[in-house]
Amino acid sequence: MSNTAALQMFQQERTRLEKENRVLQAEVLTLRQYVQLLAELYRVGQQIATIENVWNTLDQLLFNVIKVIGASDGSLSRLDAATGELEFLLVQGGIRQQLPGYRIKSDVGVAGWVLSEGKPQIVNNPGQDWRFSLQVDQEFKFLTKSILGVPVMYQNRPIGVIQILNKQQGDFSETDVTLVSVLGQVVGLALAELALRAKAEAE
Amino acid sequence: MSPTTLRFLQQENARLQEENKILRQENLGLRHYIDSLKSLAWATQQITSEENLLVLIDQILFSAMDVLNAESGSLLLLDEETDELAFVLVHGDVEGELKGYRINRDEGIAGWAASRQEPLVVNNPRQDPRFHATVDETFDFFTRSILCMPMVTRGKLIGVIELLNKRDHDEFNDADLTLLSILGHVAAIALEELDSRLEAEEVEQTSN
Repeated sequence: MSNTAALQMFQQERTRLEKENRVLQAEVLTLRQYVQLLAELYRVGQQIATIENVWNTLDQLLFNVIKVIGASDGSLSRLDAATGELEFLLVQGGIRQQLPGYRIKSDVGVAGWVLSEGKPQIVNNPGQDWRFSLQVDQEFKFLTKSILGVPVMYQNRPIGVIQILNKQQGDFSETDVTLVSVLGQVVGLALAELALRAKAEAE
Repeated sequence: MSPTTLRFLQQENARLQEENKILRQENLGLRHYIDSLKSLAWATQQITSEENLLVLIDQILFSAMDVLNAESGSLLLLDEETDELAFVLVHGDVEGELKGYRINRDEGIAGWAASRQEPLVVNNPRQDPRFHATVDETFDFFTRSILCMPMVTRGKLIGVIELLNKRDHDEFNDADLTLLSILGHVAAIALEELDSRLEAEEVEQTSN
């Protein structure tokens, strides 16, 4: 092989390796952020009884989870067993101001499905999924492009749903499911703690 | 084109190749570790015995060792009746012998982490007064570095997870501690939940 040909080959190889290196670096960085956030979520879960403003903390955690996953929106809704509705309590993203307090029937949409099944669900193409409901999109002029829904469990029963919406690059992954599942566990602990406090206050 | 330039490029490519290989391994290890945590977060509802739960925890312990380049790893459970910590899961050179071995709940580095309910990294155990050489001497083992994570839930100590001897004579660091803390939390919650569920079932059966 001539020197020029060899040079060209090495340079091409170098360009390819450098590109691969950047991709891998970015992936490792993201995964390290997942680890950091998972540790933080568990730490908060552990200390939930000592936290004064639980809602603020949960709102911040929801924000952090959405950010690390690289999505743009998300919500926490809670089951109102008396009315059979899910009420949006915390909302991040485009309809953060409008959606809180809004209620949907607890068997409607992907959220309803996640609640009744009691397990996480990824819907990367809601338009083609029979479980998807357009109610919130139409009501709030919102566009749902992808959904990761996870139930909030308390003592083995689903009591709410966390939805992360619209991942910016690529589809939701199993790693995303883990992160939101842990957020779900922490929210479950937090809601139980709030119920305890409300009970103590009432007595 | 000088042969020096060509040689330089060739070396540079080899370096990049090696770096990418390491990154790929870290990537895979981290992903595997995080994904394995999910099984513990969701599967615990279906688990009916401590033995089955420990099998799951064992897999995560193993992937934690892999990501953190630890040669050995173990999980010790607190026996409240005898105030001892018992080696229940063990990976590494002495896994056969160490399983079932017991130490006092306040003995050594594990005991220190357990009684304070605080994680601990010790990279030079022989110079640390908290270190007890009993296990090393009994099992002809040499501890070079320790990462110790108590399993605590609602203020209650469940046990301790230990990783020993970071490979290549490297030292455990804060990032390692953060990563292992996740397993510590998940395992503690899962063990505690299972315990209270089994207890509730027992009460139910007795009252029926």
